[in-house]
Amino acid sequence: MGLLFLFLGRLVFIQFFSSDFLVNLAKKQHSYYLEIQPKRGAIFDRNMRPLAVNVVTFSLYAVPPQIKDKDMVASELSRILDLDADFVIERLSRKKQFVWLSRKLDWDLMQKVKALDLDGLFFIKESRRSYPDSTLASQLIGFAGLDNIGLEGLEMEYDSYLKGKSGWTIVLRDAKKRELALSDILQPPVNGFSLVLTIDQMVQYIAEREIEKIFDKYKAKGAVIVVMDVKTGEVLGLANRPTFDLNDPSRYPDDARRNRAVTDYFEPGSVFKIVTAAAALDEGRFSVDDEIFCENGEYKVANHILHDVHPYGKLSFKGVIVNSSNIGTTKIAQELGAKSIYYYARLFGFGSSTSSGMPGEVTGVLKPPDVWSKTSIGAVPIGQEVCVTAIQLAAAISSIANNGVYMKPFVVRSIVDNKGEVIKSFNPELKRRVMSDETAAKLTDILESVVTEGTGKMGASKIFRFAGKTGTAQKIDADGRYSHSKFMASFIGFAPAESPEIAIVVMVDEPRPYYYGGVVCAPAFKAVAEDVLKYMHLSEKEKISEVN
Amino acid sequence: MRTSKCIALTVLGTVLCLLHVFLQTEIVKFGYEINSASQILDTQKDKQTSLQFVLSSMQSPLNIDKSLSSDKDVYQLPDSFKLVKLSPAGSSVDSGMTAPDRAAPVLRRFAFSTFFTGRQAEARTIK
Repeated sequence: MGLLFLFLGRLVFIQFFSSDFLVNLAKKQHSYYLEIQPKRGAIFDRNMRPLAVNVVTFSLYAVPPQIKDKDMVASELSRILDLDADFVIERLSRKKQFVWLSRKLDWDLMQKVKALDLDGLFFIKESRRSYPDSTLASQLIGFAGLDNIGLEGLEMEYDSYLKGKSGWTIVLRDAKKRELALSDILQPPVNGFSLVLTIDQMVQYIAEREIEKIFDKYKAKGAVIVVMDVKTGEVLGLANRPTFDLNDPSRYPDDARRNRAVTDYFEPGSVFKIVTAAAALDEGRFSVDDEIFCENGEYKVANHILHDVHPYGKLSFKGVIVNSSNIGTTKIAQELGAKSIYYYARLFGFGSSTSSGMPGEVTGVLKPPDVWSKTSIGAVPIGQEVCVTAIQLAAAISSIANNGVYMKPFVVRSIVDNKGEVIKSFNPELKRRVMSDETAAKLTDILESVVTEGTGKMGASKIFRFAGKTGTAQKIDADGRYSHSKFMASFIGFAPAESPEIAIVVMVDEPRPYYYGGVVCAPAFKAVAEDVLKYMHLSEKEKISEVN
Repeated sequence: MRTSKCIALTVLGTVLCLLHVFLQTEIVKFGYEINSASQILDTQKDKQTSLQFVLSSMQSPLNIDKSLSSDKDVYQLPDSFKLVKLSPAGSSVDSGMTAPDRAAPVLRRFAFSTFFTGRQAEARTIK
């Protein structure tokens, strides 16, 4: 009887005093909180070809107490996963219930390990950012880390759009810890938006192919090729050297990850003469046939003596630019004055960011006329004492090709959700008029002559008409003087000259043994321009034979 | 009467309880089935993503270029070559066939001239 009362008393106690505690305990055992990770948005090229996607991977972990023959497991795993056997044994010898053995394995490796049917080994599914084109546009795209957070490039710049928002749910499970699909997701995850770039995978490939050739051939320190649509400002291709594999960035030095087209500025040299020429023609102070005496190759500006590569006597205005005469250009600039050169340089976008949307973009250096020295008038107009980026040069030469209108360069076309609905679109942006239509036409004619009969002959094509300007700038040594062994070679131009579609900048840092822009960069310009134009003239159907 | 009513209610109550328990177990069973089905679906989706990635990688011009250049022996230009001269099309003598004479039916002549070797040039190798 007493036992019965004791029993009843216990029941009453459990029912009325311990129920909350027990209900909570049961809930903890039946259910658990699960954070649902969102899918990171993809990155596509302009034709919706994937440049960055998410791939499911499998991370291998072990429960050491469940593994009996640690040596055998270690030898099998080291064979399949190429792991150090000692490392595996050390991990399996830890007195823990969970140890990582290998993260983010692909499907095949997971299947091979599963086929071993070993106790105590388990997989967790994880998402890994993967890049089908590995090294293509790697500095532009950037990469995301193990936790899917953008660390470089556009992955970092647009991380807030790409990453999405986590969701959560309460998952029910039974005594054997099997999950039951009985609970609703309480807060569904919001997948990240995708980026559609202005980059064309094929144009990018052509740029990468050619930059690789010149980078290797001239044993350069670095190189950049930018391809831009002159009418819209869309960047169609942007290649950098040295480069790195987006799927394995840690194997490469930090230097290879730099998007030199926007982060590095350099003295442009003769390619900057387009500014002086545009100013002279647009202000009506010179005509293309005006004669300028080029002092037979030697000319004193303040206490500095200027030289031309080849001495010239009288040259026409056009001849000055075609033959890239430093003295002729300086004499034109002296007529115009510092303010005019500065004014047009600003109109061309030098000395300020292009706001292209790429991270780390620098403004370059363009000193206002009031801080110019006495020798500056013999330096700035020929591309010294001024620093520019490759993207600024691309936008500047595009404005000549686009009848004098400066379009803002940009790399992201739109942001779309996972149904393809456009969330945000970036349209071509007309920034300003740099010069009149007539000036642009005259400059185009001059720049075409640079390619047909001037310093850019090696960039001439038998198929298309090109216009461009070469540049060879001395780099500054550690002692602050111009180097006689380190050069920056460049070529900027557009094509076809009669109806421009694309502008191309080719820049090579410290090429050896040849260093003239007309020798090093012009052939690369020609190769890129010819192939890109041929590709662009294909029909849309021919371009995209198959899109997933 | 009251007893039978009580028994009937008890039986009904028991049946309802059993039905409730049965339904609950069925729900749990369904839960397991849904779970295993969704796991299969997820696995297939994951596989699809992986395959799509492999496909995209293979379609990448960079990788096509690499694979072509790695097999460059296959595309090696020949050291010597032979000039192949093609005979004028329609020459039935060269093709070794007798052309139907003008009296042959129009359809036969059309068929011969369009489809048969009479329209095909014979390759002759000249050193």
